[in-house]
Amino acid sequence: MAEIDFGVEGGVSGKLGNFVLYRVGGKTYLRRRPRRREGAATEKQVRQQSKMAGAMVMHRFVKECELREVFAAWSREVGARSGYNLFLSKNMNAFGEEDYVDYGLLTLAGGSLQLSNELAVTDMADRRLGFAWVDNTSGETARGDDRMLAAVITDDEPYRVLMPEERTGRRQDGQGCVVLPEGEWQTAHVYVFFGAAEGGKYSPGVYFRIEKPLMD
Amino acid sequence: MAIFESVIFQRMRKSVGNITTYEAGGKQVLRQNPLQRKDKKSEPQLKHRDRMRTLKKICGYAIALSTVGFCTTSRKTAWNRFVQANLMREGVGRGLAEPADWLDLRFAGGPLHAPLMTAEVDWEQRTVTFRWERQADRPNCLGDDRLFGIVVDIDKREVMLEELGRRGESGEATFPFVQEGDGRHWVAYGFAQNAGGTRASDSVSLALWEKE
Repeated sequence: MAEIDFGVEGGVSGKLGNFVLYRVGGKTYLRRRPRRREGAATEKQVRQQSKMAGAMVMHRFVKECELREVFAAWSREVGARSGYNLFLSKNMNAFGEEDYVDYGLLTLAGGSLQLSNELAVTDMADRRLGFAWVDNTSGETARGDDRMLAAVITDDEPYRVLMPEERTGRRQDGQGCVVLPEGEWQTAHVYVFFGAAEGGKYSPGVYFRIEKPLMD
Repeated sequence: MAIFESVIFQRMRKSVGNITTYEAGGKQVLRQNPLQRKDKKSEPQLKHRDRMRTLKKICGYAIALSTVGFCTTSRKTAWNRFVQANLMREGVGRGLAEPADWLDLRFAGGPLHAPLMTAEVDWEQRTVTFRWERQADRPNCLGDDRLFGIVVDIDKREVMLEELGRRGESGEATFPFVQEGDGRHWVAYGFAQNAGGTRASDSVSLALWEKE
């Protein structure tokens, strides 16, 4: 694969004989046209396809909620190509064959904002899950009015990520809560992080595994 | 066999008398037709022919279904995929002699997960009702996958293909079914196809009915 510099504009793409010219991430590449794949995929290829398929399905839900903005903002900060690319690169390895998902490996938030110290689950009543943390307000990367946010995946919908609307808590409060979704689920995977009050900046998240029987 | 280069006989093919000519590798080839067909009638070969003959008999409507079920617009490709999916099936080996053998057939195939479906017939109303359950999103099983139901009249060799709904929501759909003069045995199948129409699930046999 050759990388070609066509100057400032460089807007060239298309097919040229047995080669393809295309642009990705502001660069122009030249590569040989793909050949038709023959034979079955190897074990490694199947594993990689499973990872990709799992990540793609979960990203369908990511882009339907506020996590879309989380990844877009994070990708701008780190110079990634897009929120989609960043999501895939951070989470591909959390997926495996036969619908396997390692929820502990999932990364659903990130950015330059600081995470609060000693973030922990305090109590559960009905579907209301309480958290407490030590206020670490210290300036631009940790402001008192930063909102506590949470993304939730339940075991009855293993790829569906959602961000509950019912949630409270600011960094300076030192505590907050989130209302988990209704449903037949037994286990919920909760990812708690902070976001700037005006949006556009987010912190990394912390993962909690919540079992429903504990809530009864 | 003769190979020749001629300015006049370019791209000439087919037979004249017992001489056949065709183009191969850019050269004009001329050969005599085989005088006697060699036919090794071994048992596996004969069984294979029987299986192909059985599938060929249902080729007419199998193709119509298979272009949808195997996600192709080419009838040739659909036929190839249909044969690949069914040739070695037990029921085909028995020549689809019994109605139950039809439950073994596949009219769709692919990597998607099979839908959760049932089919029920109402003889009084002359309707067939397909019911399907919602399935959680996961790889090869998305909420916007389209669900299809098939009913085959085994005796009259006729077929009904209906789009039912989406995998993301439970539902049911009822269609007019048996008419006067129809056959006595029917078999129902269901399968899923992705929203883009590029991949499908294997078809699942739902029910076999005999007219009361």
